[in-house]
Amino acid sequence: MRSKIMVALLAGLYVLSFFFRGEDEKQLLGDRVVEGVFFQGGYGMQWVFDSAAEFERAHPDISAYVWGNPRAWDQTRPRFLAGNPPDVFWGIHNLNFWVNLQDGLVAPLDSLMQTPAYGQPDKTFGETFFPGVLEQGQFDGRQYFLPIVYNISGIWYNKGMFDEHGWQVPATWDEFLALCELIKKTGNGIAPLTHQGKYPTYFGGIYLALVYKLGGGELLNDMDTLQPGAWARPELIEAARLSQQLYERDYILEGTSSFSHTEAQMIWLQGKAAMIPCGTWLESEMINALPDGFEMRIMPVPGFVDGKGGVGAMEANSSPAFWVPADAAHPDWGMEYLRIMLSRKLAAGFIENVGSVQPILGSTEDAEVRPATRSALDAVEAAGGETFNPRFRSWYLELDTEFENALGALLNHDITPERFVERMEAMAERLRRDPDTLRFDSEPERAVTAKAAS
Amino acid sequence: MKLQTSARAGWLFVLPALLFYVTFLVVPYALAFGVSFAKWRGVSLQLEFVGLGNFERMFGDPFFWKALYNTAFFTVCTGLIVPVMALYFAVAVTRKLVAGARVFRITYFFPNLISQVAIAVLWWFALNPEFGILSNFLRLLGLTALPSWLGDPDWARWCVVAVKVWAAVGFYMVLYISAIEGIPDDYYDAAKIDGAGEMQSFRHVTFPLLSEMMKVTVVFLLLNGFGTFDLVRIMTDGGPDRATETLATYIYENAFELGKFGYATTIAMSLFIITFSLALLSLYLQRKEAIEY
Repeated sequence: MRSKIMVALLAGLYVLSFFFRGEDEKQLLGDRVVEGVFFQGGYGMQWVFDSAAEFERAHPDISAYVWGNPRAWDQTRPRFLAGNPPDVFWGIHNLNFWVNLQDGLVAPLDSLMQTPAYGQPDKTFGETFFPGVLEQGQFDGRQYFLPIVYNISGIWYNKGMFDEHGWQVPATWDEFLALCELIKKTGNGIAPLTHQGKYPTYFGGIYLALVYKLGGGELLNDMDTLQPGAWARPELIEAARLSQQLYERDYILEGTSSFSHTEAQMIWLQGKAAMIPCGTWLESEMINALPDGFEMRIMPVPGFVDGKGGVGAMEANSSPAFWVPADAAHPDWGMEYLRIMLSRKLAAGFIENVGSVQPILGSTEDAEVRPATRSALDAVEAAGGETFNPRFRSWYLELDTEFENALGALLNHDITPERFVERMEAMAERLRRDPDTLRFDSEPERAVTAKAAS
Repeated sequence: MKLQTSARAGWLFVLPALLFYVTFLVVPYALAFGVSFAKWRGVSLQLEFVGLGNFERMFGDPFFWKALYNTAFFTVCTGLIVPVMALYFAVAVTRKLVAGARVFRITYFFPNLISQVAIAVLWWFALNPEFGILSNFLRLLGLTALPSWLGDPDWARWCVVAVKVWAAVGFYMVLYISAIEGIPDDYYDAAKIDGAGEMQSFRHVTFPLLSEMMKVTVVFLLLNGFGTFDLVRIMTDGGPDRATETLATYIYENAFELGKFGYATTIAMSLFIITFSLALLSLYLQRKEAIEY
């Protein structure tokens, strides 16, 4: 008898355990709470706490409960499954977040884009972004995701080193090759170039810039939208050939293929290589390792006088980050949170706190932008605002992965330029046939998209 | 009556373990079996039954075949190398063919005291071509033009094998040692009287008496090899260019990075079938009665 009771008790506990949920901190704040969960990475959390404070100032009747850590996505996933997500969310950038849209978890932000901007009632929220940056977070004409930062990519150099040796910043690819030759010959052992070889995606910045500069925005758009044959175009083969050539001519620091991003960047800071490709996050990433007198400056990936893309055009993008879960308890408060978080005022604070620039007009005038990032904004302006943005990298994660893998093999001389494009086209074809892949359609990006610095 | 009570008490004793087993093994496996026939992104409860669609996709997926091939490669390599090395060390230590046998016992077993993750991180540093201990050591010997161990597809595969062997060999050595030490000395004495040398004693005494144990350990190694995940995930993340991608890392990529939980589960099912067959094989091999001395 007793054992029967024991069995019943244990069985009861077992079943109950499926339903039991502990009380969380959020509930202690009462009913009127907006909850934000944010990925904690290189940007830290201060900007999040600042936005929460600003939200509470603007809405004293609502508490802002925000938290975040590097595993925020994993920790929040069960809540999405249970239909109990936070009100505003940023998971992590290198996951396929489009699946959330496919499952209807993402609230459209169209109404938010039309609301007056926070602190600038004469503009709508949507009008406060740098031109062209919102499209990356749209699908089928509707806004679902908003960007966190504005990144400009190119090739970085130490202005002090260049001045000391009398090296000139090259504009065309021919001048770039001549400079590499000069550095190799007269640089006292300084290698012309290194890159984050373990993660070929960084060199991808150079490769895709070459493709844009050879083939122009239309080609890039065809690649982004998976047009048949776009990934096998001759410009892609040529860019692959030029990439391999840098290795063949011995312009790349020995050992580069195994460097992680931090190793390569440290080695560059130590002056063992003259140039390195990266985005503007480089400055805040390496700020603590910056040697005295190191003047970190960017140049566009050099182009071609007869190319279809501008010689000085810069790669600029704003990867989609923030979204409002459709099942949130208060999606409208979540949107309000975004309106405040991405306001001109807080974007200026972001520049001061984090050192990176958000794509919010005017914010770069209100705060002092660090010199390296400033040089990137200047480079965009010098290019007449001509930027390009390979959007496939945030649209099709599998294509981006294959791009990185095949590019690594190409740089390692494991495959030929022809085989490289063959592999890329095969992956594009695989995605075209995959009914589970979200297809993006887009008009060719206008050649001049952003006047970022203005 | 008495028997009944004791059966009931027996159930009570196994109940806790059974509950854990059911909750964390049987239920998830049963659910996974269902999910492998569905399209599920893993972010909501929307499940769409797609029949054999995921299996069709899997058979046509070159990355799956590559991962399967790599997994088999790692498994076979470790399955061949580890028993031979472990046996060699075990014999050397027990037959006192080397000085300081006791020390070797501990040194070789040492990796088993470290977690796989720590081992992976350790070797990831050691194999760094710039700062790593391996390259620096080889440079001391005057070698230049060293490969970038984990950055080169061919080297990366062998590096993974080497680390797997390093991590496993001590454990199997200890197993063999205990088996060898269980062999009565009379056998060796008898062999000696018959004029057998060390090599002949090994061939005619040690090895035949160990073969049962060897069979079982090989199956263990195969089972272990098919689950290769943590080492690879940390050391190479399946790269470069999927050269070290295993089934487990490919499952992880599909489920947790690409949001293809259904498809990932299908691959996991194929992995399950493979390991399950190996487990059956190991049961079959252990079925024979052990030799008693």
